[in-house]
Amino acid sequence: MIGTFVVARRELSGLFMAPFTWIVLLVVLFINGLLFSSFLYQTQGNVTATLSESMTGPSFWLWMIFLPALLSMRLVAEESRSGTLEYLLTAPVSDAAVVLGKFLAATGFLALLWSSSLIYAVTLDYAGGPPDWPAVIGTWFGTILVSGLFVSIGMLASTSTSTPLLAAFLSMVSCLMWIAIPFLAANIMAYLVPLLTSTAAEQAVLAERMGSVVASMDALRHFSRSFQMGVLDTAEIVFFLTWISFFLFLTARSIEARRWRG
Amino acid sequence: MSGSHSNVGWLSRMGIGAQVLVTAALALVALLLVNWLVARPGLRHRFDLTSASSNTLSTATLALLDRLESDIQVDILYRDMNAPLTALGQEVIVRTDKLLVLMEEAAGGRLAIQVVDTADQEAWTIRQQELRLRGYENGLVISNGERREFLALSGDLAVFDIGNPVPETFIPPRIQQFDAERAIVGAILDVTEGAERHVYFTYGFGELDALDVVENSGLGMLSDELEGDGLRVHRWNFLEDGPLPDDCAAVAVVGPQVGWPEDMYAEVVEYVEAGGRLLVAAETVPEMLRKSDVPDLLAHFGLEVSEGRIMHPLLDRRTGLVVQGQQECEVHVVTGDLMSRHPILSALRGVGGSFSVPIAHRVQVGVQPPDGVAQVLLRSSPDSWLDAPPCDRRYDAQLDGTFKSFPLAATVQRPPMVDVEAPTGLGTVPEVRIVALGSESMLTNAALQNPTFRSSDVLRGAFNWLLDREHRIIMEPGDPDLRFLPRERPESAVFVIRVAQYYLPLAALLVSLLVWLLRTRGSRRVALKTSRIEESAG
Repeated sequence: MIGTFVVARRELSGLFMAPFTWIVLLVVLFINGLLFSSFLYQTQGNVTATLSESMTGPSFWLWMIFLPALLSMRLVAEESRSGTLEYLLTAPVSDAAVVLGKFLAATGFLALLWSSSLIYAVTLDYAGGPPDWPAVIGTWFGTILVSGLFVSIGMLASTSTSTPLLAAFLSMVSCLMWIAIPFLAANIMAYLVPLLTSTAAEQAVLAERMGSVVASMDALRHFSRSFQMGVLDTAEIVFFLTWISFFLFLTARSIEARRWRG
Repeated sequence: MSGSHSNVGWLSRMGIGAQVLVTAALALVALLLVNWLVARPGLRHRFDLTSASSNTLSTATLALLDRLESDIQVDILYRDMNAPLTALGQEVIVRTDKLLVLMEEAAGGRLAIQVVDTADQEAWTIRQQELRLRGYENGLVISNGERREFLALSGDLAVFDIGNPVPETFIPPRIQQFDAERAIVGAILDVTEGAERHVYFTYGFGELDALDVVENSGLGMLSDELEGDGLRVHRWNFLEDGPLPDDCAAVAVVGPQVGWPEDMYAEVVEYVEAGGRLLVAAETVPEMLRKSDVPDLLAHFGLEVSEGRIMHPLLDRRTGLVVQGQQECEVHVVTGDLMSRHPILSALRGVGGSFSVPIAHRVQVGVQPPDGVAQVLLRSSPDSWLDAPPCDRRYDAQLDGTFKSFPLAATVQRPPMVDVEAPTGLGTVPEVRIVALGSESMLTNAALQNPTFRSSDVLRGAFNWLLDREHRIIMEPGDPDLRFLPRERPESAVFVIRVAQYYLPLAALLVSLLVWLLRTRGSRRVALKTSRIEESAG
């Protein structure tokens, strides 16, 4: 556990010492600030709608495709290329601690980034439009869980190559695929279901079953039906935590595989 | 030798690879299992963090969704509302969507939601034909097979106040009431109930006319309210129409002035004893009340109605003296503390509402049913008296007794008094339900037209309770819970925009420069130290 925090601290301080991180931070804050202002104008000063849109709107999911990929590229592939990852793996900490530490650092950075929404909320409160604070905090907590999921996906994709740009590309594609699962699955099912069934009734049953399987993996759906609405749902929290654990487990196994791959 | 070594290496790698694959597969299975388990209703817990509990369905809604027996389809046909309600319309749409998501989850697959893209002309036309709609509706269509009901965004789902656009006296538009849950539940009930519910008002023996919308003494406005709740109102006279029809869901007896034929009386009693629903309102004039069958009918079910009427003293605003003998002495304002904890009144009590009951007899519980409950519904103020006939509105100690609170209405709820077959599904449970009102006047057009009386909610509540539709009345309108920046101070929005657009990125830029400065100075020191060490070593 101590090893995890040592690694997390090292990674976080490394992140904040890198100009790249500050550039990302500035760009995101600037664009989010513009979008927030635009939402405030569009909703004619509706505090709840503005905060909801700025915290969970399409821009948030767009960032979720790029940011975890850029962070995980830096955390895994770049270290692998420069050879520092080998030093880290030979240090007296377990592979799991290394993976978890890096994950916590990247997720912590994103949590800090999304806390800009809390600053917007404080400003709105100060300006006379008090937000529904418990719901806002709940939504913010949800954005951290989503960030964690995409960071873990990005980290797994990054372990497959030591070329940072390729790693970033792979991470982006993986995150995009995870977001696009329902849309892709709907198209695939439209072709596949008629081939597998003979009657319309069977088609409906199969489509419904496959649809429910796909829906169970749909991160957008899980997020929008709980955190986005200001609801803490134990099933949704477990959904994100278990998938994060699963991808981190695979990441640890993938890093471990470097040893026997040679 | 080397060939043998490489063979072992390959096998080991394959073994480790297979082990990793199996572990990953097991982890995936465990993940799916855990997710399945925690999504089970018993283990799943939802905590609504919103201050207005906007993500919590009422118990009545949950009960209804739980016992749904047919598949309900909800078609969403939203359009932007015209200015100045565009943003508020969007807010209602977002809230209704959230509500539908909750309902969909609670219905366990019985409620399907379909968003119709009204911008896609072709898809819209097809769906429009399927739903047999005309025009460009903005709202929801709740369907159960071929039975459907349309809920308009403005009017059904929410009530908007357009405000005042004149700059000098500007009042911003607002959502007065968010009614989506009540409207959707009502619509689901309307499309799922087996048949239309019919209420029969007795007629021809001095009763007030259920279909008269012109005269002050008519009941036409009440009938309109009931029709709006999905009930069908009819007049019924045993001599002309014969026995009560099979589709009778309730009988209403409002102010008969003479006795009914024996057969008609027996028909009503038999209907109620078999689990029928009855609303009785007593005739105002004591002599006519005495002649009618109402006292006997109520006594048969354990209730008593007085010939005298309830009065209360009136305070003259100018002189401060107590006055009697005026008509206002017979208008009883019923506030929360004078209402019982009955489902009929729970919504009204919940919002701290009140209403008026004009010209009422005392209706009290005489005998408690052995296997049911009879209870007082409303009371007069504690300083009232029972004015004995001829009801001159003046207190007479010898005749009228003491000052106290008198019951103005009562209810009876008990199992059928004869053996009957229980229906299944959403049908009404066989149960005797009676609402006895001491005042016929509170049902009239005159009372319903009077905005200070506010009796229509109670009457609708009474009929809904009679027909076992309490959920319609215990569900209070949703709190719009709108949070806007103060519109009278436009500078507040400017401040917020400045913080988001400039101050925050600028602060981050300053911190980044500080970090860069510290980093540069730190690396210079390290370089200086290194060169000194090298110099001393050299």
